[in-house]
This record gives sequence, structure tokens and C-alpha cells, in this order.
Amino acid sequence: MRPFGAKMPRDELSEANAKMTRQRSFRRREIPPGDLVRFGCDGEDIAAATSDTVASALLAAGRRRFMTSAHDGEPRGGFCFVGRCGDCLMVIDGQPGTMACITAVRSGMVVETQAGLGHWEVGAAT
Amino acid sequence: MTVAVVGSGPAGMLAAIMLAKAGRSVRLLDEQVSAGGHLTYDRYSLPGGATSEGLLAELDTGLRKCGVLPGQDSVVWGAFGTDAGFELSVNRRGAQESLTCDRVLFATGTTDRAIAVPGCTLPGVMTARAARILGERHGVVAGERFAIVGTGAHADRLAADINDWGARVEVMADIESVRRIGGQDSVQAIETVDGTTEVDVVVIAAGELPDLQLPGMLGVERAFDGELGGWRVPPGELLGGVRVIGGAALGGAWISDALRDTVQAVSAVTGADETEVEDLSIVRSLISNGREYDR
Repeated sequence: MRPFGAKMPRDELSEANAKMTRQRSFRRREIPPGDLVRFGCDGEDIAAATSDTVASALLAAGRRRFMTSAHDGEPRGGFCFVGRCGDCLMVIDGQPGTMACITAVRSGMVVETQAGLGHWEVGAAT
Repeated sequence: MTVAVVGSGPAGMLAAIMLAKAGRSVRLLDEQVSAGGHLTYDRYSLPGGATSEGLLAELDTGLRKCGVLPGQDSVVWGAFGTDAGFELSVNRRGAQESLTCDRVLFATGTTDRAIAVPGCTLPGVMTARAARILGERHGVVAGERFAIVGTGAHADRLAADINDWGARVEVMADIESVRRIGGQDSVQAIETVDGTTEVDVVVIAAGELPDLQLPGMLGVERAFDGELGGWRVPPGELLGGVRVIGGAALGGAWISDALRDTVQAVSAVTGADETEVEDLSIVRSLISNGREYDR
């Protein structure tokens, strides 16, 4: 554990950087140019394939936390990935409680990490 | 006579084909985007040079030839007995349908067992099928260092697949030996009776439990199977018109057992025999051979 502000020796820094670069991309195969979709998550631009779900695209981009639990405030990042467990609820295009694991990505989609149950408006459409 | 088949994994697809060939009106329903169940995210070889992908293609073609309409994106969220038979509540992307039918076959498959230890809700903890959906279907590897909770043939095959995806398997542990999963914002380590190891993904491959919520709603008797660690329904005809087939009946099963079970159940319903699967060569070879398959 290093104290905040400590300088890292050069070779440790390169190793840490190399690790970060690797961890930033968890895709096994390149996205073909015709398949590329871009959407935003918490203000960050995310590149995805047309076949991605929001969850798979976020994991590929190194984002692991999708929501914080309404129950205990702890970070959640999906568990079943088949639309069953409720651990991947995100605010997608303004709609809270949307399962990221079974929602297909769309160009220009706006995704936000959901805090607890999220903010619901009375009469909001599905 | 309408027969509803809930679940379009291999058992449901085969049942729908056989029922349609026997002249029944079939409604096939499944909550996922595409038919195939585990065949859409698990790749394995089968005896005789066949593959899981080949099996899916064969079943897909079989359905189209029989004129069974695809019923994907359809969540069956309720099942009720009526005077005339059964009523299923179906939600298709927000649109509601009450489907009436004379018989229901539940081919709803299984859900992976979860784990309950401190840290089990951290991002990075996922089921075996989740790891496969990510790794095989989406080509996304969830991390670099995996722990597999679960032992046996399925866990071994998963470990080999994880290696194929370019990640390392640091730990393979029995579910009973896991003490806790550690990490701040996501998985960073796993602690078992043998010590602590740094990992960034924990995959639970410790068994599957039958999905019996819908037959349960209908009042089907269930018994707890201690060896399986979950509820089972008795085999055969239930409540006059209900059957549970495939993995949901057997408690997670080898593909050949699931298909054999399906053929037996549907033959009992239609009075037809195994000739109904004559033009499905991979299915035929699986139901008449043993259950071994390799990667």
C-alpha cells in the first residue's frame, strides 16, 4: 500500500500502465467497423458492437459497477446475465429499473448507474 | 387441440417439432431473443463429429419446416388452470396476451445455484452460464484471473474454455470451502479453507436447479431432492395436461438425457413413437447413444 502522492519508480509505473491498458479492453475480437455502436454511460463514451447488451459493452470497456443496491448501498455488477437476478438495473434513456444484461445497445443510448431504486416518475411509460 | 410449450431450449424445440408433426397446434414461447437455450452460448462437441451449433441449426430448421411460429421475447409470467384447460399470461415487450391451451409442456430448464458468503454480491461474481454468455456470445472476457467455485466435469470444461478466452484460472474450489470474496468496488480476491488468492472474477459452477415456478403456480406437487439440493416434480403426466420436460425435469442434465426425456414425454402425449425424429440426425444419434461428449 503506497501513501498518496508517493512517486512510483519508472518500471513499476510502466507495468501499472500496461496493466491498465490491458484491463481497459476485455474483448476477444475486434468490432468490425460496420458493427460499431456508440453510447454514453455516466457521461463516458462507450464503443460497442451491435450484438452487445448494455452489460456486455460496459464490461468490455472495463466498467464493472452497474448500480448500488437499494438494500445495502453496495456496488452490484450483474450476476446471472439472463434477466433473472436484478443485479444489473440501470437508468437507460431515462427509464430506471432496466436490466442492462438483456437490453441491446443502440446508437446514442444514454445509460446511467442506478442508485438504489432510482427515481421514478408517476405515469412514466415502460 | 393447442399445446403450449414454455421454453425454446433444445427440449422445448424438439417437443414443438414432434407435436407439430403429430398434427397438434403448437405455441412455443420463450423469454429470450433467440431460440436455443444454452445452445446459444455454450459450445461443445458431440459424439460422431456433431457439435452443439449443428444441433441448434438442426432444431431451428426442424421448427421452420414444421411451421411452428417463433415465440421469442415472450415472458410467461403466470399459469392458471381453467375449466377448459389452461391459461398462460404472456408479456411480449409490454404487450399482454392470455393464451388458452389444452395442454402445457414446461421446458423451462434450470437456474444456476448461487453462493452465499460475504462479498458474494460484488461485481465480478457471476454464474457459469453468465461467463459463457459473455465469453462465447459476446466475446467479452470478464477479467484476467478467474476463480471457479464448483468441481467436476462441467467446472473442468469451463476452466479450459476460460483459458481459450485468454484468461487464467487461479483457483478451483468446492462451494463448501469458500469463506469469503474480497474487494472494494469489485472482486479482488477469494478466500477458501486453503487460503486467499487474488482474482478478479468468481464464477459459480456449482450445480443447477430446475425452474419450476410456473408448474408450481398450477399446483403441481413438488418434492425436495436432497442430492440435487432443490425441488423436483414427479415424472409423467401432472394435473391432467401438464408435463415438465428436459433439464427442468431432470435437474440440469446432459443433452442426450434431456432429449431422450423429451421424446418419451411427447410420445406419451401424442401416441407417436421415435419415428417423429427421423429427419433430425443429430438428435437421433444423441438419444440412442451414450451421454459422453467432449470439447
